[in-house]
Amino acid sequence: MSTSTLQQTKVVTQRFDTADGATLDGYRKTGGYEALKKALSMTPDQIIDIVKTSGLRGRGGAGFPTGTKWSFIPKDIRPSYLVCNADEGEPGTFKDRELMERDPHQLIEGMAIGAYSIGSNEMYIFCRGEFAYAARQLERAAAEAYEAGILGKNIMGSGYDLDLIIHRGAGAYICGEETALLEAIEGRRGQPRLRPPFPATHGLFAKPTVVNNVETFACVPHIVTNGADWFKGFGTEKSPGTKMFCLSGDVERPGNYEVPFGTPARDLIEGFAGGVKGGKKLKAFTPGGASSTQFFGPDKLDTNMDWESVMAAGSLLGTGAIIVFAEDVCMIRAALRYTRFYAHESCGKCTPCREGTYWMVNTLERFENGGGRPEDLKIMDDVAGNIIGRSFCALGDFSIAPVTSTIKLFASEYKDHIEKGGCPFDR
Amino acid sequence: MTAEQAPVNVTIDGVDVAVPAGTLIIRAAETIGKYIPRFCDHPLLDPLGACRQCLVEVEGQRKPLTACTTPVAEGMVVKTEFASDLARDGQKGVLEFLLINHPLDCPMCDKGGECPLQDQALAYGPGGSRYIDPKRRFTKPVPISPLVKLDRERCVLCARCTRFSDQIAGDPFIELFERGALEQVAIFEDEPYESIFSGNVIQICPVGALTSSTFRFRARPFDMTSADSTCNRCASGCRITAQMRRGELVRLLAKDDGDVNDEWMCDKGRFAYQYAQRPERVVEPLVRKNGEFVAVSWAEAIEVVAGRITAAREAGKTSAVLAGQQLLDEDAYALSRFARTVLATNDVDARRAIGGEDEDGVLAAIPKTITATNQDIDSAKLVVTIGVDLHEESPIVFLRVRKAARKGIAVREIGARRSAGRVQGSTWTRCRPGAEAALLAGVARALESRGNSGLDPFTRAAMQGVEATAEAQELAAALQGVHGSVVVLAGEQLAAVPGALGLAWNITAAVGGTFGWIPRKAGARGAAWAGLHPSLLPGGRSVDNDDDRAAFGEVWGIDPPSKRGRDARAILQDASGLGVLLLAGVDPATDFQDRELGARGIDDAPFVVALDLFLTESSRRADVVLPAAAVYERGGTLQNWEGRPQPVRMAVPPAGLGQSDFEIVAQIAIEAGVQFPETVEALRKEMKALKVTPAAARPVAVGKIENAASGGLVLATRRPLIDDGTMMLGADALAQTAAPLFVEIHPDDARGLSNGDDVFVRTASGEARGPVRLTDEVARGVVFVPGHAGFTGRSGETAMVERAES
Amino acid sequence: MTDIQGRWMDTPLMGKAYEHADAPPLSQRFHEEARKLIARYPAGQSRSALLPMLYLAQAEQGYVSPAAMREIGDLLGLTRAQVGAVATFYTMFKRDPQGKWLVSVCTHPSCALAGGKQLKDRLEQELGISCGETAGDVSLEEVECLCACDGAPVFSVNYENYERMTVDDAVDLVKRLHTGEQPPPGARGEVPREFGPVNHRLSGAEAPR
Repeated sequence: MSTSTLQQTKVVTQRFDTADGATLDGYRKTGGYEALKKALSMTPDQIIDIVKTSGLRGRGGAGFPTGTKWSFIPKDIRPSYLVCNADEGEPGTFKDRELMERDPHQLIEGMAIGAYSIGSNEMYIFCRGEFAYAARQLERAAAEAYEAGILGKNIMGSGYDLDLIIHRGAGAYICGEETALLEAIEGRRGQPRLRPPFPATHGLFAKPTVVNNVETFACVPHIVTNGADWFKGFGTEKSPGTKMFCLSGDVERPGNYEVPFGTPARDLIEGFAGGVKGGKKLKAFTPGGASSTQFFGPDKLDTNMDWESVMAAGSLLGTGAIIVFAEDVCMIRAALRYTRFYAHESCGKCTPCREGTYWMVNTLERFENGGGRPEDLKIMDDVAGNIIGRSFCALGDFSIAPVTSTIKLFASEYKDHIEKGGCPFDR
Repeated sequence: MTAEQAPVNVTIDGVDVAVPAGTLIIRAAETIGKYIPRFCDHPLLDPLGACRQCLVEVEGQRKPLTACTTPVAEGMVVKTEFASDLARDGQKGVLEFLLINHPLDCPMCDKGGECPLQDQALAYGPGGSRYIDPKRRFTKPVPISPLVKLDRERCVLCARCTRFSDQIAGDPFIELFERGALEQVAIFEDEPYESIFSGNVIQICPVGALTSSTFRFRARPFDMTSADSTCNRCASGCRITAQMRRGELVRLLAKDDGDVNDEWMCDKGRFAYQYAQRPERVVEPLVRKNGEFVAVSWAEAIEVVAGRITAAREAGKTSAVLAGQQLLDEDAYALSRFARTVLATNDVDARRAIGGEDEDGVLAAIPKTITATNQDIDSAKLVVTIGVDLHEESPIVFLRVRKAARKGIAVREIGARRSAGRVQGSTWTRCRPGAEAALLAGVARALESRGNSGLDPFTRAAMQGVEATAEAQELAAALQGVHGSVVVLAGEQLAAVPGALGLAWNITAAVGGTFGWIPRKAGARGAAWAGLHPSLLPGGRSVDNDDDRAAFGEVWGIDPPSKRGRDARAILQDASGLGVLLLAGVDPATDFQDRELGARGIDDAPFVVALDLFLTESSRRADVVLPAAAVYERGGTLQNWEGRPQPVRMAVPPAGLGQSDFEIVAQIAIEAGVQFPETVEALRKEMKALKVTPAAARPVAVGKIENAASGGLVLATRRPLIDDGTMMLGADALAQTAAPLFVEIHPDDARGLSNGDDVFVRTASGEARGPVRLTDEVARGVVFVPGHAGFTGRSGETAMVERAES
Repeated sequence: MTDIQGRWMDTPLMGKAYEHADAPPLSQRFHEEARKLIARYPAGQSRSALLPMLYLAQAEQGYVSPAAMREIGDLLGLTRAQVGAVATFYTMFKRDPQGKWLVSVCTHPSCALAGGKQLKDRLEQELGISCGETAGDVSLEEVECLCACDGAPVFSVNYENYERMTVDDAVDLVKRLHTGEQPPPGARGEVPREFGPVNHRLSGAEAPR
């Protein structure tokens, strides 16, 4: 990535520009697998304690405290499983892919520490089917790790056995939902499960399971090596640590940028990413990918990017995927594309998401083709209101975000579409 | 009371109610008469929470919750659509969503008038639709089996049908395909929805997506009258609703009875009712004059029959009664009483194959012993089936065992061929036909060496000189140590092996288990109770017991004869010496184990009177045929395999001049000068007076057991559920779902034969022809041929298998 | 309404009405590898090998055929309907034989803003097919976010990403594939393999464990 005047805080991305960072040698040269060695000499409880104290929160979108999640695993039921959710599919997000491509051993080390702390001898990486290169990198790294005795029987001479299975997805965004992911590993349709019971007690193969995101696991070796306090030194009290933010869309320098939580959105968009492409004005941006419940306008550029601040500003941090739209973008076309995504990826299990997304797609298509009516705005708001909080899983909740936030922020564009009998924008 | 057992207090719409812990909100609401709308929820299926229709507001929760997946918690305050805007809006929203793609098919949809979508849309939905865009379109309807048609446009994706097939029936041939708005119920192209339980999905589908090909466009629900009755196609005893329109039976539905059939019935019971309305029905009394049948009045027919009976009695000739096993309880009792009081004989039998003395002992014991019930299966730790394929012979009992297996009980099948139905985790002890008695004797031997002290002297005598095989040891180990929680289900195949049924009975008692007899026919238990047997009187009493006979003398006014009568085989063999041979609902020329003997006996008998629905191979040889009413055409009682009496009620008037068997018999009796109860009530009064309180099982005599033929191939056969019998007449769609005939052999016995080869199977008694299927679902040394028309081979006979030259 | 794969809503029942002849039985190699795949998972969890086995069948036959679904069902003790239900849920299992090169074009806003939609339209035009169809060696599809948004516009050939190409250059690349040329290295420097070998890799048959 080209430079900017601001400096990233490279914790999980520190090896990205190292030529051999993805190889075992390159990983070890830069301190890799020291954390695992240290962890294997500690007790599982001690490790969970460090992670808890560090305040690490899941980076897959929900932001659930990781240490707490690990502590839910009962100690007396075995086997237990550790699963990495590498089914990155949230539009605008591309951090997990880069982490797996450029630093696969970091993920393996983080997972191994997690597995040891929950007494699991079998870890799964559920890697999206389309991530061909990332999966090859993982397979190469896993092969190296097995060869070097870091995976397999008696890892690093500790007496602990640990296996890694890389299981591929097959083209379903919904498998990023943790229970749908488990269903996919079990060879079923990827439809989310009823909770309770929760994966912590009845997860993979009905056994206690932890599911965490790639970036979450990537933080773990650093926390173990440097300590909980070190981690809390970055970011805010409620959102400690650093975060990879994915900048894309109408920006000069799209890419992943790792900064402490609390960094203002302006720094990311105008600073690191070089501002709106072609010098245009900013029309809107998403704080957390297409599933952000509310898109932001230019008035929100000074929002600090951490969970609590984004929520206070009316949206969700989610995966930290910032998609930028310039002033000449048709927001309805964008909303239509996102809504078609949700309609296509809807698993179909529950009525509101399955039928509601179908309805919204049809309505938005009508707007684009000149058939929009004024009453459609109220209807779509109602439809959205009948989906949110009523669907089986969060995909339904997120599917309405593009619709409701564009109606709220860009009602004039809808009116223009009606008056002009179609889309007045070029892009 | 432990904390788990203590009831939980909740408030629903301001009403306080206490329900057992773990109760779902939707069920708790029903206990106070509150109906929460739903589609995917069904009390007999695992909760799903997919349709989102049952949203309710729970205080303290920010989102509405689905009542069908949320168990109650102490102090929970629930508000349904009556008391909460959130709940009402939520439900209305879901209905609006369901209707956007739902076609406006009501005028031509079978479900209209009994449709939960219609009803709930009216009660809880929006008044109109705001949706103006194109609806989802699918080609419709698509047959997914000869019986079931699928209309994907109407489907609300509640997954009741797919969950039923997977969870309840174990036949996951229908599944949800695709994803999102394209999601649809589908089958795989060459695997139609052939399940003997397929009709149930039509009944539980909450919309008109799954419809019956036989009922399609026949009637509106409000155009039909219904009768609450019981099915008589097997001994499961499903409670049914029989529906009539313009004097014609148009549909049968399963009734909800948690003690018997939950809400299910099999396809045979559901779809094979057309026989009752066929033109082939005998509708008038027929008397043979000059070699031809002539229709006469009832008065004349009764007079002729009574006249012959009286003449025979005066000439010192005994008359005999052969009865079928599909009679209602009152008919069976009436026939038994008729034989003893009017014909003054014990020459009565309802069996189509004669077993050994152990069969007599068990039939005598069943009416007066505590036997297994469905609840025993529910709460058992181990269920053993022997000599029966529950899936083919008593499907709803199969479902019961399957349900229990899903909850973790162990199931063991003992037989020559694995059951056609899948029970989770069941183990199979292979046993060639004819070897069951030896196996059980081995089990007894093994039980003794394991310290069992409950073995009776008959069993001990039988196990002399018998070694316990490995299988016998394994069975004994499984049985021992499960005191009180073992249920043994034995079928009629066992009675063909001398000593086997008796040993099964005795061993069950020895391990503290409960015994269940699963006869193939619905009236078999009633026939046993009625004493339709040469040595038995009603209530399990014996003809050679003075006290027993005296009891009847009081009730009947006439003492029954004391000499043991002749069994069916003997009756047929000596038929030429009879006075009158009365056939009641039986077709010996087709069904008797020795069909030739059946036909010959009927021909030899000087005078034959047949009570029947049709002119069968047997009744067409008779001298008088008296038309009987079919089960849908009359009232009465039918006890199922548990001995549970269940009501049969008239749904349609009898065809032509048909009457109930007991009515006919009563009229003959009275005409012959013998007083006889003429109504159901009068019969029931007598039966009640003769009732015996069931007690704990007592050992039965086993007799000598044989060692089965060893080496070579032995035939195993039993009739499939969807067969080609008389009562399948007219059930064309159902007949198309019959499993194709295969000659099944274990691969180790193939001897050069491959799948599909055309072969003959020959035994001493019969011959069959069909294609070979090599499968490990058949024990080694066994060739399995399903029973079918014209096949007279018997289980246990040595079989030769040869290629058929074309 | 057509969905993103260009499929009209009315899909026929599984297996019916697909015009091409059904595929031959799966090979001995398939069965050997399938057994190994089943062995990866804990005892009693052979169903977990279902998705991997569907990839393996697709590697051999270029799509997931009804014949393959039958055989896989038999191997795992599942009915055909159960296999079909899973196979039709996931978009990476194809219903029709694919060409050597599956070209997937992302049209999400991050890519659309950089020309993704134009690329899709031009490719349809150049190849003379709609998305979801095949022309010779090239199959074309429109896909959801490939999560490589910093490389917009993104398209992939057998899941190997090509990033930041102009529409003209991208169209040119695909045209050359269509004439039988091998593809150039993708954005990460590796050349895509053909559809069959790529699916073989997806099955996990080449994974370290």
